Amino acid sequence: MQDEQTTRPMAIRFVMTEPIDFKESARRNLAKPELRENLRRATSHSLASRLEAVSAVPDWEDLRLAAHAIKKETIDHLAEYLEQFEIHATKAGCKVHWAETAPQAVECVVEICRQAGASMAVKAKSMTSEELELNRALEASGIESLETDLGEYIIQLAGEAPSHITAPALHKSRAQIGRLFAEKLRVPYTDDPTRLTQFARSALREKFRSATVGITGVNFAVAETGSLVLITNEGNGRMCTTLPKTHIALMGFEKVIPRFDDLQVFLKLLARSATGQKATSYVTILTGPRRPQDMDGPEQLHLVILDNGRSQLLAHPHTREALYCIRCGGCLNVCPVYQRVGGHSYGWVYPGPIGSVLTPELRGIQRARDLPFASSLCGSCSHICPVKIDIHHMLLWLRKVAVDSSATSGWERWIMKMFAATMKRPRLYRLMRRFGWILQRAFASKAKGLRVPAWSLGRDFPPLARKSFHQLWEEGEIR
Amino acid sequence: MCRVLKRLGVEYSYRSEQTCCGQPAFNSGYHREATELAERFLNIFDPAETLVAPSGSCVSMVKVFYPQLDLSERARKILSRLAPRVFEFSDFLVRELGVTDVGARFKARVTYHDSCHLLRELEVEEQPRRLIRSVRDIEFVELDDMQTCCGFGGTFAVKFPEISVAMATDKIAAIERTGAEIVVANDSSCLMQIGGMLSRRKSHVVPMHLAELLAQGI
Amino acid sequence: MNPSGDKVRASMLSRLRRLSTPSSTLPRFPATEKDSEPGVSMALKVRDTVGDETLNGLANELRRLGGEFRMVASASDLPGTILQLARESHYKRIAVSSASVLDEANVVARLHDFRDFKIILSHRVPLLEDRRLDAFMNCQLGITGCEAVIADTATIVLNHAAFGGRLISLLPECHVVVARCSQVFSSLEDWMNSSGFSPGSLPACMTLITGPSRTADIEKVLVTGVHGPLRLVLMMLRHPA
Repeated sequence: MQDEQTTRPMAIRFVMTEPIDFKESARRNLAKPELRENLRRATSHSLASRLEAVSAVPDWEDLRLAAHAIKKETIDHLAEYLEQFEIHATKAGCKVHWAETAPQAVECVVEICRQAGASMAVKAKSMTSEELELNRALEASGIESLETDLGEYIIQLAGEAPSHITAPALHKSRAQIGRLFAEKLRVPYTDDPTRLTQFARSALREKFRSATVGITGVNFAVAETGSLVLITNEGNGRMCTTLPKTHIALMGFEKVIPRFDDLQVFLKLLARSATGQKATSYVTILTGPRRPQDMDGPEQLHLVILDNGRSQLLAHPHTREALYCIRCGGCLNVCPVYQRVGGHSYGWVYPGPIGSVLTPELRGIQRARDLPFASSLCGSCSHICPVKIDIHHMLLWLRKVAVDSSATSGWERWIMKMFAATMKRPRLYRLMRRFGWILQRAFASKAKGLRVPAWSLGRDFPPLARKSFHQLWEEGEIR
Repeated sequence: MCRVLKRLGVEYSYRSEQTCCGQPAFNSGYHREATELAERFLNIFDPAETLVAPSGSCVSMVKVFYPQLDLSERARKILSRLAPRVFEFSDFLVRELGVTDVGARFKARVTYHDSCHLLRELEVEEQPRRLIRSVRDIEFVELDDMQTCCGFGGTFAVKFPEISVAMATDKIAAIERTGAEIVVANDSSCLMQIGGMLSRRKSHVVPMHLAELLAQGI
Repeated sequence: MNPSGDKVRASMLSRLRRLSTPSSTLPRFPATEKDSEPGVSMALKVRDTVGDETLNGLANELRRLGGEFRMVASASDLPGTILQLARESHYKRIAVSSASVLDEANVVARLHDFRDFKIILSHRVPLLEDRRLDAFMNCQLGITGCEAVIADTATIVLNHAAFGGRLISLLPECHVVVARCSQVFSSLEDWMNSSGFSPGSLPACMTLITGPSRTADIEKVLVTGVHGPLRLVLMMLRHPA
């Protein structure tokens, strides 16, 4: 079986030079029936599994409160906890690096790879690495970077970006994946998930062995012990952190938690919220690289602690708690907008409700002005969030930020001014209403009601009553 | 609403100068315009002892979101006194008056849609259901996705009409699955969205506000 | 130390300090004492024999996850159980870690009796990277002990330093874990709160293993057996506890 890993196209990544056009992307994606069905199937399955797993935990609400409190404690004292983490991690032999910007982080990783003489790195799934566009940078430096998580492997072969935080290939059907493997891996076509998985396993096994560097993310970093915790299912995380001589871990600075015991809360919450499992297949707890008496394991463990705009979040009281996110993807699964338009519509690495907070904060409201408005504010995201982040209220706040930063259209600002001016003048308001009724009498069909732009594309406008309540009241018809 | 209140012997009045609580502006990020309307609102309702509205959105705006606005000293004072006394209609009947049976009668199969503001901001879930169940001759069946947003979302409905319509379509499908003749909701925005969709699809299902339902047969 | 790296570090930390909430109470840093060598299995006091109900629950949960559970009456039955499994599945190349539970039952000696097995002792494999990787890559069965077993999630706690390294439980297609009943805890909290566990003496690598490797990345269809072992078998030794 041949594989085309070395000749695959450069992955299509989000171009961040222009503002994200969510409206256009969403409109296009809405019109793709196969994508709609894939999304619907995947999200409803995730929600059903989650519900089952959560119902089995009687103190689920208490857990959420505890997790929120732990995160608050951490974020309120980030410098202290990160320093404590650094002390213990260093003592265990881990080399801790700090990076304020994406280029700094990338440079750091590339340098470590160079010093390790790496020509190939194997990667476990890491949203942080996607944020840095690390693969592209590594390839530009002549280092092949191979995704090993099945979902990431699939989209790397396809040259696409991930569309979900925990299930990167959620937008693809088995048939699409079968065709992809047949073409890229030169294997016989099959749409059987088990066989497809076996193809990936075989293709990657030798790669794990020959890679000099393993790159992963971090789910939690324990300050008390200097440990890195990786939560995975496939075993590729274990492979990447065991076989290669050098392991590089990347994390945003908000991933630290104070005590080892705190894992009790987060381990219970994360798997259930993300995939409906009581526990993932593997929770790997790494405290430094291999010790002299160890039989195997990497000789070097590097951790890169990243800012890349997170201090913006930290500085804003209204959105600060978005740093509590444990990347479960629950808010994506439950969001009626995400369910219909998919992750790629959101234009950057983090989609869905949490992405609509992170992207404007990390990349600036001007580049992501659509995102806070891409929501009906139903609040399901906040309701489901295991760490009780008030996501939908953050979106509401970001709308104010958009308006204050002149990131909304002049036309809309004018309409709002007119709206406020009318509502301050009851007589004018009533006049407008009467006018609307006259228009309706004159032009609207009985069937469809008034023709209102955008509204009437898919819905009828309800008929305005002949007399408003106000009129009835004034005329003494209601007492 | 007035008919029901009258039947229950509650004295009510109506402030004619009222227009809008300012939510459409607030929801779109226009705090300044929202604050202007909030000041006006609070001035108008200053003399009120209790304020009832047949709308979860409006009540949420006053109770949950007004405190976030940059109000004048005077307006803040009015708000702090008034906010605990502002009620959504079904909440007022059940929790404040302790009434679940208003004496209504209506023979129909009905289902109920939870409006997002009412459900998430005000946590009013049981009250409408208890009121509906007490209507004589009613047959009440729950929607399988009762807590899923209808897709209105204020300006969302016209900013992202395709997504909004897609959400409404699924809501209608769920309603039709119940076999109900009437869909009841507690918010005119939801009713506008759902009703508009039902009408476009020439469905025989009729949208009805809870207050309208409770006034039947009185 | 890299001077520009130090500057970045200082800059980041000072910004974080500035943006944190000022508070009179400093965060509490619990004292962590090192009280045992991580390379040695964290000492466990002998506990009361765990109940049948717990064991049944554990077995059911493990099976539900696609793992396997076998109850072994006594140490003398252990080698036979392992032999049977190896024979059934036609495993020839077997790696065994050091573990008191395996040593007591003379598992290695008994396996050696049968010449058709190629046995690798994990602690005897040469440490040269390639040779070690080769040895384990070609293994079909890896047998280890474990630190603890968590009943409610059917999780196996594996301290790799104490039980033959990381590869033995990762590369072979089948991983057999041998545990005693006295190692069973009802929940993760129970184990973490037990006297045997101390965060001060963590090894370089510890894994909580719950079932075989799995993925649902293709249409949310669950597939077991991805990069980690395809099979996970827990053999629970009743006596001695």
